Amino acid sequence: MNNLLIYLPLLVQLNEKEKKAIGIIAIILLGILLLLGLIARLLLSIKDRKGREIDNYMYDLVSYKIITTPFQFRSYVFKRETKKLYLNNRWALRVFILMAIALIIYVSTFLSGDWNTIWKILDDLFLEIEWPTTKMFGLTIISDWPFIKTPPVIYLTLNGYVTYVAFIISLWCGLNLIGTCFSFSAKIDRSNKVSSKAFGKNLDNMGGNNRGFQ
Amino acid sequence: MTALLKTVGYGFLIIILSPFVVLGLAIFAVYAIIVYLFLEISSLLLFFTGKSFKNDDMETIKLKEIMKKEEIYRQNMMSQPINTVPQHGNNFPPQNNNYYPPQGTNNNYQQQQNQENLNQSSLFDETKKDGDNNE
Repeated sequence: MNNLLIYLPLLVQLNEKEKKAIGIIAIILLGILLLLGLIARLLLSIKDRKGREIDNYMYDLVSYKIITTPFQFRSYVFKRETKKLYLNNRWALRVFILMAIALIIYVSTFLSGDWNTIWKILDDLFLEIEWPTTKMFGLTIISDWPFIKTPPVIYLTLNGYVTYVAFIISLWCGLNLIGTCFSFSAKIDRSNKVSSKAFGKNLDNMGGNNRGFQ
Repeated sequence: MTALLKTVGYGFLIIILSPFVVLGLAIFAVYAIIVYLFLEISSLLLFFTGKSFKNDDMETIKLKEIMKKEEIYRQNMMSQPINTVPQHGNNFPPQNNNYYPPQGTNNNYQQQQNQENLNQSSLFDETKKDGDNNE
């Protein structure tokens, strides 16, 4: 507490420029938090929508009493979704494995096993930016818009094409894997939440007020 | 304003929870790769034994059987003819619409039938009488 009180006179003695800077920093931070919050909300809504996909096949299985316990419910969803996870990922992973084998053969044959060439081409593909900073209250903080330190370089050679194709395939495979894993986790999460409710005696649903799984 | 604050709160939450979310996704990704390798080999083996990996599981087969039975039952109910025999009295068997009781065995039925015949004949007589008068 005493440490914080040291800064109190500093806040009082701020000039107009510094007050403005603090205001701008606060607005930027709030904006970033708002943006992240919107992304979180979007992800949660996608998760909810993906999770509800299990209702399509679980509703009949539960209503016809083929599945009768929460454990059966969870294990069935897990089994079925694992199968679906494989079916959704298989082509991406097959292509990735083939690409990796082809790249290893290419590098070991044409580049004598020199992987640095590939990494350099990839590194040069992205631009490098630098943020101007300033010292304020003993802290180094960003003071202006960033400037481009090194622009991206595109290599229109055989090595370049091979690297870009490998990069695009890896990116596609990675995004596909993340998407399917996200969907899988959403469904498992929903099955864990719903399994006990589906078989539990709920007085809310009596008297024709059947609202299904909530 | 509350919604805005809630969104900002979500932003805080995602900053705090993002390492755990990334960790969870990484675990699922590793699981997905292991599942892929295992099922790829097993599907290859299944292919050479003449089976398919995409076959329905036991629960789905059971469900399909039940639904098929239900559909057949529903079709049978729909295809049955409409009840042509009027239901008379309490003793008349209402279970099967195709059941025609033998004449003379059910007293109630016969009595009512006779009563109806009587009514019809009297009606006929009246019309006949009217006709006669007209003539």
